[in-house]
Amino acid sequence: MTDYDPKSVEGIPESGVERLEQNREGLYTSDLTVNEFMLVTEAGFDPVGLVVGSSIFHIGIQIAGPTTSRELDTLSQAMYSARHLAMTRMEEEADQLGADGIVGVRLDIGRYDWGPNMAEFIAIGTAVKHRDGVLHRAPNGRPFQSDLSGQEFWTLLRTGHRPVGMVMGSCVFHVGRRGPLRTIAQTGRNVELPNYTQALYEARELAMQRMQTEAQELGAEGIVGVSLSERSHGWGSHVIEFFSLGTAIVSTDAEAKIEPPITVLDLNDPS
Amino acid sequence: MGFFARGEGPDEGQRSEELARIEGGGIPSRAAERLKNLGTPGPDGSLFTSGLSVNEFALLRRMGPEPLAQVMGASVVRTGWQYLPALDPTLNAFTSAMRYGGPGPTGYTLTNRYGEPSMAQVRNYKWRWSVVCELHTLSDAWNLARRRALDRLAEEALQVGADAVVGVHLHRSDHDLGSGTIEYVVTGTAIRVPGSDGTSWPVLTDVSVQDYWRLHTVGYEPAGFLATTSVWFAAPSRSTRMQRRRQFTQNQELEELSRAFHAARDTVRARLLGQVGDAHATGAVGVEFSHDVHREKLAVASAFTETRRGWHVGRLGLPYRVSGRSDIERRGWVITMHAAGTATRAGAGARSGPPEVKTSMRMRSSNG
Repeated sequence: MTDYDPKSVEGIPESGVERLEQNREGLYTSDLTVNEFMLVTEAGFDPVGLVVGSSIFHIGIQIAGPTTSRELDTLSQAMYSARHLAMTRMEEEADQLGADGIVGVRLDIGRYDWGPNMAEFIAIGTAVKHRDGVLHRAPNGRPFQSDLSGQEFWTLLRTGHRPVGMVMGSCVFHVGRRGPLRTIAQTGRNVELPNYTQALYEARELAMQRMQTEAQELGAEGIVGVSLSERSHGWGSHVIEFFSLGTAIVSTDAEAKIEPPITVLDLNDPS
Repeated sequence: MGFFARGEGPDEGQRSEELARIEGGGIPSRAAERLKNLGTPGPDGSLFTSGLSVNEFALLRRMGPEPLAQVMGASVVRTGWQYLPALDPTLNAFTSAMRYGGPGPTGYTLTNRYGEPSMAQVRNYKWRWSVVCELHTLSDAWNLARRRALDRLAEEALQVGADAVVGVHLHRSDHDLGSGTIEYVVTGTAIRVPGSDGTSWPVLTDVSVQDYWRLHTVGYEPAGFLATTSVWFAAPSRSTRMQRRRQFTQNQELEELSRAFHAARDTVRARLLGQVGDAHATGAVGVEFSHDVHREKLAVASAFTETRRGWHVGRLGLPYRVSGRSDIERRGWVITMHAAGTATRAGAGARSGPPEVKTSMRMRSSNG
């Protein structure tokens, strides 16, 4: 990604450029709720527009031996680059708007009937810009991304931190079946299945390791809100994608003190 | 890699070494490596990862402890064979004589080790006995899987020098890796209290940072994570089943099922209480029960699955017959009862009196 030109609008279709032009003239769209809007504004940011990025990917085929536990790197690569492309396109849109960053990013995977091996990777978020022009971009000069809601964004700024980017790691792993000899040797008793444990464990570790590396490259201080999800995108029961996603943050003010919370009893009935 | 590649790849030795680590209850070397990377300061300070939400992160900073790493543990266990308790062998003068050989130094020895229940006993068992018992093999399998996963989580936390792991989340995943497998994944965030050397065994807790704060406010601290599973079996006798069928228009209690549920909850509660004691705690908070019920056919334990049926020659040359009539199966309900919670004890900064509480009321019921 060293040859990436921050001014590039390559990935954005013509109508998108037009829409962004409109946004720049003053009208903004956003998918923030009223509460989020209030808090983002209170934090000194203005929403500048809803930004999207999308990428349709054909996912190739890779086959591992039935008893082999290993990473399917072609699939891992596909899942990662598809998301990365969608996020980069979204980032380009935000860049067009001159935004400082994007909050409330959602990453979705859409599957359609017309393409069984295809998946659309979509990233949607709201681009925001600091009102007084204080630069809040990531250290590499590109708009930051974060999957934090408006409320979380406000709280994070209050703690003296700011988001610098969304970091992720993905790993598609083939969990090898047990050979027949092992199966016979293990019947009758309660036993841990070390090959399954190891395979599942290792796959998750790989995903987390990759996310960590990405954060280190961003120069982040830490990652909050890490979610670790497992999905099988129609590959059968023994091929599983492990995906970790979080928001990388850096410290802006080490002295920032958070107000002590007050114990509040909500008198509304839980409905 | 070919289409039907049988080979395990180039690093065969490394792979078996990894498996040995897992078999010994350890964590993979990759995990240890990742956590070591976290601990060593990079060019711009060390990195932390956490599964905490922003709110939890803010609250934790307010309290003092710092997050170190998101830690994890996993375990896949295959359940063994589960039998129902065996029937008592018959106490019958004639067959007893046949079952015992000549006098030995310690009295009469048993020729036929497989004391068989009589026909009448088997018939009685099928018709009159309702079976309610714990399935120990299955209970043990659940507890083993969870124990292994939690131990790995704690070991990862030890690697980064943590004092505690908050927000421990137990996740039973089903990847369809074959019948009778139980998979547990646990995740949590390792934290360290400033000024601690981080060499003691970390305290695991499933409370969120918000709850940690609330406990702290009233002067308590979490002492450990409690979790247990008990699997019970309930089967009505055949006569009960037929009677129920005759009276199907009426409301009737499924007595053995009620009994099994009660016993399962009771067992789980007693075991949790034991774990509270082990953690040197004074109580438990946030204990949650959950259960699954499914129907299954289980066999009664008997030696006949291991031996031949038919005629055998005993010690004195006396013939005896293994009829195999106690190869019985009972169909019934299998109740899997889980419980998890956090043990608490009075903390160092115990405060007297309740905290100041304010009340609030939202004008809208939705959060927006």
